[in-house]
Amino acid sequence: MRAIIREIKKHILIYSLFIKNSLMAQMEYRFNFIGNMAMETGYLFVKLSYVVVVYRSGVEINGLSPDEILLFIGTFVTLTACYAGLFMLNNFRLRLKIRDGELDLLMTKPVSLQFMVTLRMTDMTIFAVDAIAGLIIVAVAWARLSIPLNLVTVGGYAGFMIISVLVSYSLFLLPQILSFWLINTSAIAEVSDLFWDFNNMPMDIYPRWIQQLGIFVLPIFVISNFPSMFVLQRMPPVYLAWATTLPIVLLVILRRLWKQGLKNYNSASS
Amino acid sequence: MRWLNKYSKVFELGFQTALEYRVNFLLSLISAAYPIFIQTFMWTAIYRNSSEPVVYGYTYPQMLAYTFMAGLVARIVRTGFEYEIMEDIKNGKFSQFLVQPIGYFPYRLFSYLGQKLPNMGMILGILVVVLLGLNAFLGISLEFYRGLAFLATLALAVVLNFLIFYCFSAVAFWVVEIGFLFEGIRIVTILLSGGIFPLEVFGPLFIRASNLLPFKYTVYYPINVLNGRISFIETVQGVLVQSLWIVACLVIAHYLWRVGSRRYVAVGG
Repeated sequence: MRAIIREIKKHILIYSLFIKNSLMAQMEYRFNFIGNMAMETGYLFVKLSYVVVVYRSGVEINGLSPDEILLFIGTFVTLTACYAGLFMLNNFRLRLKIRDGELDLLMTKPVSLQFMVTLRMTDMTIFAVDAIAGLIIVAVAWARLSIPLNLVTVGGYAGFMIISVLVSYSLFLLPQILSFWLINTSAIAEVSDLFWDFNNMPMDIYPRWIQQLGIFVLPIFVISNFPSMFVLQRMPPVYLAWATTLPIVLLVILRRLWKQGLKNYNSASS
Repeated sequence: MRWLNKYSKVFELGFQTALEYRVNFLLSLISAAYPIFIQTFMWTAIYRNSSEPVVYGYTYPQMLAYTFMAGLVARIVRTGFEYEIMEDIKNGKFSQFLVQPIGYFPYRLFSYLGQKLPNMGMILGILVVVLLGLNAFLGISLEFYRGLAFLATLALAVVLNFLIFYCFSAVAFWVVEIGFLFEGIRIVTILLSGGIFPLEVFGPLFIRASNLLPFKYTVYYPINVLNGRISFIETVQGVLVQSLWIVACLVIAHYLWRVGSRRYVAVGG
């Protein structure tokens, strides 16, 4: 047990160093830093344009009021901070690292290879813009809906956010692992990335069969719908059970596939 | 005649480049399809739950038609050469245009038009299929003369968007690494041009402000010419305004590039 805690502590320390290094690298080119912020703000405007559509129409969409939809969109923006700021860069670069034989050196380090490769790069500009905006939107929606601030609501929301982060890490990394078998997976990377934006609006806008598909088959809707659904007390027990099982299932599949893929790694270019 | 010969080669090269990266183009079409998919379901839900048949001045078939057309027209007018300009300035490749008998502006314009042609043909084909589908299933009316007017305004929109981004790309003379900023500008201009939602969604103040800018003449205006929301007189007026913006952007681009190129230091050239 003590050994596990020591390992976790070590990885947390290393991760904080990863963040520090990425931030230092970004700050080196200051205008790039500002440009990056402008780009993410542009994307944020697009996400907020959906809020404008909902509020100005004043229509309840399939039982969801504009304030409730605001909570869903705020949750999506906050989770985009984690996906785009912490995972996306690493996902895109994985195939290049495999193709160019860059894993050789990393394999010799006394730290988990999967950890080193999939969490090495962070983009704190994207993370900061989306996290700040997302949390503000969530706070506004929370207040407008008069949701009580207590251990159950805040704790439950935070718990589901952690589940969402784990699901988004696993779900979007899985297709990239195919790079161990295929030479060029850039098309897969680009198409799978597009799936992220299906969470831009609550899943209630889609027909029932698409909702079920997006929860149980390709669990994309689990990511940004479940935290808000829990707080709004709209979560059926079967979803609750699925939410607690899914991250474990995905992480196990991911780990097995990763190990299987590594056996296929032959360091061709080094 | 030699002038035309020279730039027709550039046009041809652009055309070949577009054909070379066919998979990339098809992928970009998928990325155009997903917002259409989301918005179609969103508008369907809004209209189903609304007590009014008209929302933001659009009926349900009109709104769906706008959503489909906006996704496709925004894809037609989309640029991408600004990143190449940034690289040319950063890596010193721009120097060769200063000494060779080839103008940078016509080179970029003809290369852009050459690259646009196959993509435009394919997207217009998709648009025709979509419009026929909307006509068959939702009763959207199709008029031949509107189709012709749309093609004319679309051609002007392609040129106008080229000039807008040619103006923006001059910033690369002042700031070397500007790729992210271009992406931010691209996203915001899509929003301002009506490439995501019709401008009525954002209210009268937003429309008044957008009337003072050229962006709405690249997506929102050609679509409204096609879907019949604009009268014949307004169509003609719009073409005039588009032409005026093209002239204004030409003047601005000429000025920015004249001032900017004085700062060019041919690093890496």
